[in-house]
Amino acid sequence: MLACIVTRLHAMHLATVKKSTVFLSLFILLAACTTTRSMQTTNDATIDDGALKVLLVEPDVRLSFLKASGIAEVRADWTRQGSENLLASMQEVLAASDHDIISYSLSDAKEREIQLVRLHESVGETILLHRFLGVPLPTKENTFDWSLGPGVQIFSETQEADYLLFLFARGSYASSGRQAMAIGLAVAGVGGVGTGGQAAYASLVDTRTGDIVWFNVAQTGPGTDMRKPEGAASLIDVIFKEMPLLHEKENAS
Amino acid sequence: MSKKTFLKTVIVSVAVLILAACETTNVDPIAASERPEETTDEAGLWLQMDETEKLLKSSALVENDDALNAYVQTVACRVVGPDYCPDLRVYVVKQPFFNANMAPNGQMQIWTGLLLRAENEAQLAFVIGHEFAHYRQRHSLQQWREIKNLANASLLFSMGTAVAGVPEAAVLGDFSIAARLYGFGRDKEREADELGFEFATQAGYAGEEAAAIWKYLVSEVENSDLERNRRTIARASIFSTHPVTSERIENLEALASEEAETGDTATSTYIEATGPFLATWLDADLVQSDFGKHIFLINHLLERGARQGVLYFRRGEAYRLRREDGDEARALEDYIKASTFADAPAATWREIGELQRRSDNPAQALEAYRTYLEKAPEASDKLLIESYVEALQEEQT
Repeated sequence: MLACIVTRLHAMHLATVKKSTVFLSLFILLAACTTTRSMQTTNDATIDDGALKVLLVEPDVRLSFLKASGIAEVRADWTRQGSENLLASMQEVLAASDHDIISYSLSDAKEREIQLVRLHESVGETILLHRFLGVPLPTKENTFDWSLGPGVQIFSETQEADYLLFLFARGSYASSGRQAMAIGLAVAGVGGVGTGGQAAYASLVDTRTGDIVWFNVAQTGPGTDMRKPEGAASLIDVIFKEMPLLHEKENAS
Repeated sequence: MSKKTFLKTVIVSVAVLILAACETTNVDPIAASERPEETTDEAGLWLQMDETEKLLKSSALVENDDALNAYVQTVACRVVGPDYCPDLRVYVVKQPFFNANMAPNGQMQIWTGLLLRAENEAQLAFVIGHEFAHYRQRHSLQQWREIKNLANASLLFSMGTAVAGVPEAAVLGDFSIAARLYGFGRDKEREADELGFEFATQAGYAGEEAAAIWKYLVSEVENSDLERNRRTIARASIFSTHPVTSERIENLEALASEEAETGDTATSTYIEATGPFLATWLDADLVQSDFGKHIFLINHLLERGARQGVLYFRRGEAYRLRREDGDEARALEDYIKASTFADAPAATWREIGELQRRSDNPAQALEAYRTYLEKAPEASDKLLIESYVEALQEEQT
């Protein structure tokens, strides 16, 4: 929301609309129960043996209140709670591995790193669109070779690491008015009134090349709520189920 | 209960829930160093703007010249006073249009197209005052609530017409609701104009400058090459977010006439702070290829009597690129005029050389090219110009 002296900024709004449409269609497309689809790179990349250093990049979370009219309002408190819960769950899950897990918080001064988190958002959306939402790219038919590029090396300048783990999560929670309307309209025979939901995607990125070596997306229905620790934990369990760093350990044991 | 009655009952009970959610747009002004409570809708707006600000900071569009940034921030602090000063972060954004904006979290953007057109510090101060008024009055929050309420109204209208069995009327509802939102925007702009005027005059700036910048803008647009642009001046509809410029001018002039004391325009400090950027900003303005507006703007800047070398050079460039009948002669005349001022860029002599060579004045061309090479010994086109010089020398012998 910007108040300006002459005219409004249109370009910025258009970009936001496009992005949110891709992501929101996930809520609709994937069923109401928890679903995931995990992808592994087809690049010549193998996860190294032994204990690895993994940077857990501060998750990118935004949680909103879905009003009766369908307007979603960002809630700062829920966003903070969700972010804290997801981070704690990730730390807990990863603590079970042999790897060295280092949390990486994004202060305002880390301008390049913040841009890379945004890049992860964009690349993730592109993957969703072309891999999961029915718009396949002919050039990527049998390949999964997405990358954030070698720019990610900037992370290892402050903290040496082998891999970066990014998480992007969005959620919206319906007001009582919205829920009543969905039920009311369903009774009247009108379906498709969304009552919110949660979705997230995570990427494991090679710090040297920026290649996304593993990617997973998960969507949950209103039952699991990442504003609560249990809800966040179940979302993280699902999304990390086939994550190579954890998987490897299972094989070994 | 028949199906229809049941449906009505459902819709009415939903409507009651929606009505209960109506939010007030009547909010108190924000106090200095006040931050919204984390559980509020306002905190959500701040969170989003904090995120965009992080990206803005690292954007190549933001001017990072320390002196200019310090100057603009100082003017802002003079307008808003020491209490609110730490709450505002002013960014100079490299965009060749006349605009400024204010986010609810204290992030203010001033576009370079505005700095280029403001004649003096007082005019900049009124713009800052206007934007600060949006912040202090929490206009973004009010507008966000208005949007939410109107979305509910729109929903109620559609549900109402659905029950009554006239679904087509829903379309009408959307139009009248959209018009209400834009009308709300215009009211906020009026309020911001009035408060902005108050802030800037209290800070000691000359009241008549508030209307002056708008008057200038109207005359600049009247000189646009594009009819589409010229038409925008008088155009107003129920869907305009801002009041018609003529109305703004009238209101601001009325306010200025009530001022007892005459304030300060701070023209010389403004010219000093913005002068080093004139060439770059004019270059960016020319990219729009609206020569009528562009030349009108340069003529306006020439009236200030400063940076004449740069300004005549830039006007010469505009004529050279416009290429209408007689423009080549006009361009040459301007380049020659520019060359008499100490601040003329080296390229002035290259352009004189080029035009003189083409008009078959080898002696003048040779002299101009030599001056260019003296003034710009590291120029990237040095070898090319040297080859011209050689050819011209041969011609002369």
